[in-house]
Amino acid sequence: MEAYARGDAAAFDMLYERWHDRLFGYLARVFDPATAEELFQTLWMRIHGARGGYDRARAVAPWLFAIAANLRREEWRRRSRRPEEPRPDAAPAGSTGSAEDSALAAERDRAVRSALAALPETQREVIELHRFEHLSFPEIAEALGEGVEAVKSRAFRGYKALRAMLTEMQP
Amino acid sequence: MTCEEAKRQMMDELGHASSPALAAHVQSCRACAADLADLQSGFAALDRAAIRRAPPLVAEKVRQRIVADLAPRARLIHELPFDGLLSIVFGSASAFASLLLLHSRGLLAGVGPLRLAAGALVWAGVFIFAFWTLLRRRGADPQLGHLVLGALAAAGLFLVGNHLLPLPAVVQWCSTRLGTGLGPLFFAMGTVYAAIPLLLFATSASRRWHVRPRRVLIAGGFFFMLVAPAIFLQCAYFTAGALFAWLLGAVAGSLAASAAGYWLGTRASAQT
Repeated sequence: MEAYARGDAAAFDMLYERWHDRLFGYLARVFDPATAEELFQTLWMRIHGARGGYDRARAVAPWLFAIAANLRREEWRRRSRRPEEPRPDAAPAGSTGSAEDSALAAERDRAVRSALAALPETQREVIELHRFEHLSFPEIAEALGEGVEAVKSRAFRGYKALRAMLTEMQP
Repeated sequence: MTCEEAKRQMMDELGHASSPALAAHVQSCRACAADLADLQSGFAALDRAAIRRAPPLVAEKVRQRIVADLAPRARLIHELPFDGLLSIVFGSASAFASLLLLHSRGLLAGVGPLRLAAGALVWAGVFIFAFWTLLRRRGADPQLGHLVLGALAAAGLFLVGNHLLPLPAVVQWCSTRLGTGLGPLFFAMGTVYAAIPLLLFATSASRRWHVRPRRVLIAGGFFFMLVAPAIFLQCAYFTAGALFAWLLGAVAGSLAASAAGYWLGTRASAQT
């Protein structure tokens, strides 16, 4: 990251290779594919623009996800001012396998997405960073600019709520 | 272990096997056992979520855009030798050229030699600092370098504007035609003189480099430092009140144009 901040293109390539899919997933999990693609481009431009201010004492993951989380919040705020039709059942990009497997996977994915979408954003973002991005609670707290205990408490409530919702959704 | 401690530990161990201490507590506490089961179930349920990958074309487009942005910077910032010496040379030359530009319109006629020398030194210092920020090889901040380059360009634009429509001429015209008590007018003029070049720069900087708002304001401050000596050196034509109003206007113009330019540039960038 430091080499990239100094303008090293090879270092950028390594960083990009490692993180671009995860960051895209972080956006695509809550927005439709077109919005996710648009935000993905904006996100990397922001990361690129902010690299000069990267603090070498910080881990890369919380730094990247802090920028991504801010972008997501901004998009939510923008949407709350101009409500649009959400598309939570959009097909996941890049899925493979037989038609039956795909249909089953899509159905499961839809259920999880619906349950996640029903969570308050404050709980959802913590759970996503923890469960999908494998950030530790101290890293999540750093990314979101909050206390570790508060973040744990939100994850606790979120996981319990998810469990209840997914149980209800099961046929 | 208390229930509160158990809850904290549950979160830390989520996705892993429970430690003996937590397992023992859960065996003796039904509420915590239920909590742990709920958490593990909710955690495991998310396995069903599909992995989403960035579409290859989009990913490649973003990658190429950034790589292309990095390439010219590498040449500009990191490959120039004698960065300190070059900063002094460029800074001094810029200050000298700026003084020459003012002198060519007779705008330094009323300035005493001491004030002129002091102004020239300060101006050279500011220019050298600006070029040092731009050219230094060690600890260079590429984005700040670009912003300073933009601030230098905006300051150049200010000087050209000042050459075409000199501040003293405007002050004298206003004073003779409109009378006294023109503080608000000078404030407005100072704002306009600073805001126009800086607005152009801040808009393009935000659009091209996706800078953070605070950094655009820093560049606005740089711009003000670069143009302030020009205003001071021409202050022989100003009353203290007019000078103060003009400078205040320049500060306001720098801040307002930075913020407006950031907003316009970010918006334009989001639309493309």
